[in-house]
Amino acid sequence: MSDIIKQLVEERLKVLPIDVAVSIGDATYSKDELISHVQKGDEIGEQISNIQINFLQDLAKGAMYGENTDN
Amino acid sequence: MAKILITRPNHDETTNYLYFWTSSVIKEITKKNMTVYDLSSEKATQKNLVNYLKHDPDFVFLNGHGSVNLIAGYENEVLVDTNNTFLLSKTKIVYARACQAGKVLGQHLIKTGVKAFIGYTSSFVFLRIKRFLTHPCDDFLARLFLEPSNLIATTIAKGHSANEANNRSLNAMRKNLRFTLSSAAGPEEQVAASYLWSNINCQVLFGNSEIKIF
Repeated sequence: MSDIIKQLVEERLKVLPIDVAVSIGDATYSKDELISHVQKGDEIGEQISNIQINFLQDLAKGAMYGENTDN
Repeated sequence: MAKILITRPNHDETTNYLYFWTSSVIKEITKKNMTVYDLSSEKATQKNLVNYLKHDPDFVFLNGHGSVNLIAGYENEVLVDTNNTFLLSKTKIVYARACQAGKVLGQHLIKTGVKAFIGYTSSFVFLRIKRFLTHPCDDFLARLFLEPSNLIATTIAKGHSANEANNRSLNAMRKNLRFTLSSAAGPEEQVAASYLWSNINCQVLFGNSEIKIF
């Protein structure tokens, strides 16, 4: 993961309110813990980075404003 | 009468949230006069699961931690993995509210006889507000994630198809996603968008999508 991507993800994580926790995998993480994982580039850091980058890419494409799925 | 088997361990903060949020599913199912086998808390063991699967439940709803090839119960004891999927061979629908089980285990279940499987190919993520730890069902942030996933179980229990359950859940998540992107969302809700989008993209349905439990 490039330093620019890491920095972008960190900036996005910094806006997490202090009272919000993220449950992912078998653990729950605070804002500071998530930022630390991203800085280390470990498995959780990679997962969080992928979530943020995929979201930004799809937001740019307008993907999340698509039609609902018919039943 | 349709039979439903639920596992919901509660040995850590994440599973405790799933445990409480599954209560509302059970409440709704019970109203429908169905047989519910509730393997809650420390009862979510492989031994109990094996015993209750002998009753041939139509729908199995598994909550807990997971990985690509397993779903765990209380204290992360393995309940289902790729070596024992035959235990669920008579089950019509399995919904795994667990991380990553849709990647490998879900296909294994279909190969061994389960008619339809709904799960997640990546981590099932949810956000929560720390002050609601002791009363998770009041957590308005977790609601954005857990209410749409509950919809899978309640829709199946009402006799709709696996496909309808999957679509209703995805549509509810998309609705919540659009809310988080709107100016009506509060600061906690605004940060949920990327995680909701991740859950939407990793939710999968395998097998016979038209199957119903009755």
